[in-house]
Amino acid sequence: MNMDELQKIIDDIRAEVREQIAQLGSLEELKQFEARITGKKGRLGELLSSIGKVAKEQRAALGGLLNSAKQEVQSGIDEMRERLQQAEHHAEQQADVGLDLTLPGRVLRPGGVHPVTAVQWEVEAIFERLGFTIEAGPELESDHYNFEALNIPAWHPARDMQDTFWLTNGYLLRTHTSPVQVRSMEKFGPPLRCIVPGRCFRYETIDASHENTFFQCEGLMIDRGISVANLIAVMKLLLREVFHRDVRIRLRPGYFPFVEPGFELDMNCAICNGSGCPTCKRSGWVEIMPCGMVHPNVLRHGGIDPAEWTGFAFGLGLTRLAMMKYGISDIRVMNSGDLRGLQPYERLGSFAL
Amino acid sequence: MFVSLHWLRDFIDLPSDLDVHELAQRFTTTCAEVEEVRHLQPGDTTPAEMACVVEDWIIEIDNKSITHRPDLWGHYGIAREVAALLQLPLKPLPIISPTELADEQLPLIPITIDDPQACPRYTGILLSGVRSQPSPALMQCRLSHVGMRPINALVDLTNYIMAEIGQPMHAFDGDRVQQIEVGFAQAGATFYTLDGQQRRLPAGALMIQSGRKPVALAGIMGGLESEVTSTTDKLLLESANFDPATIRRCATALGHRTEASARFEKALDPAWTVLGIARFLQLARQQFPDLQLCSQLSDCYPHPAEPRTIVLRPDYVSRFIGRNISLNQIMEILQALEFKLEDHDEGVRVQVPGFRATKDIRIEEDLIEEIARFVGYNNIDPILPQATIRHFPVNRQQRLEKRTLQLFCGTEGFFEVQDYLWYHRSWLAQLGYDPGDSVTLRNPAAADQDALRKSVIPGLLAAAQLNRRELPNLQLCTIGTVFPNTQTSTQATDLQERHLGLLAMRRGKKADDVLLVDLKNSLSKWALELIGLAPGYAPAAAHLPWENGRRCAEIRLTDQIIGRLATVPLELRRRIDEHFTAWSVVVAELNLSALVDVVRTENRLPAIPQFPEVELDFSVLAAAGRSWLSLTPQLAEFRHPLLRRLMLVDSYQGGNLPPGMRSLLLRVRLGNPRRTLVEDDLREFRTAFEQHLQQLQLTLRSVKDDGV
Repeated sequence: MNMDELQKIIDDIRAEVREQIAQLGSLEELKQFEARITGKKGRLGELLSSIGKVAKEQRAALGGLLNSAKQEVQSGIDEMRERLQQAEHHAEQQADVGLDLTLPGRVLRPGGVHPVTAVQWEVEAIFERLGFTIEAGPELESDHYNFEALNIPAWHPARDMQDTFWLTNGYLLRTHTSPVQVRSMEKFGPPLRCIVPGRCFRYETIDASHENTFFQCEGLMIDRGISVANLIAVMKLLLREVFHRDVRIRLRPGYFPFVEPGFELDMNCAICNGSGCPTCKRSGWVEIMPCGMVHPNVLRHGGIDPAEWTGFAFGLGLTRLAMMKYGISDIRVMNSGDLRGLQPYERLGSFAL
Repeated sequence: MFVSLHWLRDFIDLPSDLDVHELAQRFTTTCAEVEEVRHLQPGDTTPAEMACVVEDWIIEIDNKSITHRPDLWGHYGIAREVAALLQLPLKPLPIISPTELADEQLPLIPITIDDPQACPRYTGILLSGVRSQPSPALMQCRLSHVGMRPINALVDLTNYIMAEIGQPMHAFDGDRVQQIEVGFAQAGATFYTLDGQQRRLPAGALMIQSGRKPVALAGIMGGLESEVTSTTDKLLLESANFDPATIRRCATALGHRTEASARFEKALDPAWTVLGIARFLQLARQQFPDLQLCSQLSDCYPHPAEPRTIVLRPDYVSRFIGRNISLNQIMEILQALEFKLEDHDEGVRVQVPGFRATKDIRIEEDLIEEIARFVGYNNIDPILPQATIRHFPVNRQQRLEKRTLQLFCGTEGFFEVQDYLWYHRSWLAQLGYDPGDSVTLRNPAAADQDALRKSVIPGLLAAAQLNRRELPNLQLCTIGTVFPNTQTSTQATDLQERHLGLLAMRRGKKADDVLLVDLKNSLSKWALELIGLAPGYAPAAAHLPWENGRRCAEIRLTDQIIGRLATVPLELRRRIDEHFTAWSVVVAELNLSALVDVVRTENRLPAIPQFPEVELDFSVLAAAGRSWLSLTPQLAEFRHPLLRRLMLVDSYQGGNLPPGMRSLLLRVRLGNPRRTLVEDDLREFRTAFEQHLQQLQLTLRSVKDDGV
């Protein structure tokens, strides 16, 4: 092959490229076209690989010619590629009808804790931030921790207030979480800050607002110089955190042998906002939490000297709190295992998707 | 208890425009809970279900809020609180003079008390001239307003005094009863009470006897034989003080609580016995002009109570309440409540009035309560405490349970349910499960709920059945206390365990294996996260009705068996209900208490390999009967410096494999921390590993590298 012949072939290729390239309609066609021209087995590619067969003295000139031709063809192809890509982007945008972002997502494995557990964790988090430890105690309890150590001797009428499930082995099912007061005092000594969420049992007839099995959260703080004013401050803080708003409260005398003085803490009825409704028996107030200053006898039972230490204790009704927060009107739902009453509809409903 | 405002006005000059609702609110926040306030107008129905004649306000006080306050079981005690609250003077109770009662011309009633602890004081007087006639209209009204039906002058008078000061009294026929002995009944004896009932007396029943013949159940009810009748002319009036526990026990044993016993249970002031008689006579005289004393006041009081005194430190009062309270304020409050004060080195010495001394006020803090409630609890400004920082080691049980629920309910898709602590025997019978010896309740909520649970699975099965229609594909979990240990123990904590129960179900009969593997994976993930170890699963014989013998495993952690995992057999699903046969169900139960002290070891993280690693897949044939669990230790015996990890990728049975065989796909990862692997490394490893496989009688089918 001489230079003239080569020049002729190259010119033919150039002409062919110029003519055909404009007619390519897609990136795929362009890719095939590129392979036919500049690919290893393409027309220019074959010429390039045949360069070795040419006499040495002609190679440099031949190479130069081919390279400049290849550059020219390549830049044409690149230009066309860009044009086709842009056209494709534009077409895609035109074709896109948009996404319905309001469609529910597919939740494949929903799950959830019991409402009482959810409230319990919330309360735990509040007190952890105040440096309280979270303790646990046995549900099968001794007379000593449930009554005696809490200043409730055998003859005491307060035992009537807490009708007890007794066991044939002499133990009982704890009637409140308060037995863990003395257990914690024995475990840690003063100063002490703890809460004890847990299940309690009372021999009671079950109806929409009474259960024989329910959750409480005991709270106990013992330090030097703890006062009634401190108790009120912590109770207010607790309710504000739980209800995410300022809650109006009132304290009134309440009698529990293990505190002195003892209080009933009422909060402004959330249903009628204090104006009086059937839920609050038209008083505007709902009893939410018995509390008080730890009785010196209880401190002594826990091995703590009441001359040096004072403290407060409270018993938050977790089951009742969960009912108020989640609007559960029938307490029997709690131990029913019926998820329709224990979980939000959305969480269960998404199961079907 | 019903309180009549009309009655209170006898003792306090209340303003005529008194806002009763506001008074009730203030009474609730300083004294005791008012349940309801009712305006009674003529024609309305009174609490005794009679027509109202005199306008009145009825304040109903929650009995539970005054169990510790014997003084508040009568109008006079309520009036004392109201007077202190409104800072108004309290008028003295009208009574006849004590000198008149102590007329030495008259005989004494012989009174003997066998046990002064059971009956600290017995006071009596003989009277004549009391006739059976209706009470004055006003007295009838008031009794009706506080829920007592007027009967006749004598009964009404004793009731009136009980409602006024809180002291129960009783009248005997004075011809039949002229001497008194207070002693215990013989156990098993019977006695006719004045309501006509024959009652078998419990051990420890305290009796009023006359000539050692029982005439009344002390503090509970009089006897039928000595009852005052319309023809009675002479009567013996009893006003006594009894030990609260003795009366309570007897009334409880008899199942017969009366207005009188309810009051004696509260520990009444012994001084009220005399006060009661003096008030009775003052009122009776207005009704019966021929009233005559036939004895002098006869009072048996072997060990008179010493007045109780308490030293009160005013600075402690302020510190304890968290608000400055002046000595003046303290004195004003306590004096209004009839406490007597005198100076003392450390502050003031406070003498407690008798009606507060029986049990209510014993220590300094009790006095502080009196002060604080009249200062007003709602006038105490909240102050956050100044606390000592202290580190409490984490409660492991608490943490384990919380993180367990977080993991299963959060990421593994379980729903938490809660169930009672006791079995329902009818449900167990349906399941065909006999729990054997159990910890049992002496007073179960229902007859078939006496046994405490040993497992949480029966409850989960009930929840599964309940939810299956709405939620056919479901995972449930629960954490609760169980009582597997029926031995007697001195430690309450030894008798209970905390168990985690898991249940997964899916509609379709063939999902057992998938569910079981999923549940196992959830468990393994949980154990790795919380304990840092993967559990092992060893096939176990079924011994519970919810375990299918061919698909049942013990869950092991290190050397400990921590729980069981099983598919629920068809037979049990059919027992639950016929529809349930179309479901696949798997359950697991773990003893969390056994894991509380298992320390989580932090896994050290490996260095990122500096040179590329290579994976080789070995497909081998094994007898189908050889479990993966039995193969793992054998495979683990193979050691090689390049081996980084060996894992099972797939297990396959059927197809064109020889019968009784299955194919296992093993993947090994090889690497050298110091250089890139070369062909020779791989060849040398393959030779060694294939030799080991051969020794284990695992036939090599193919080897594939990952093309790197």
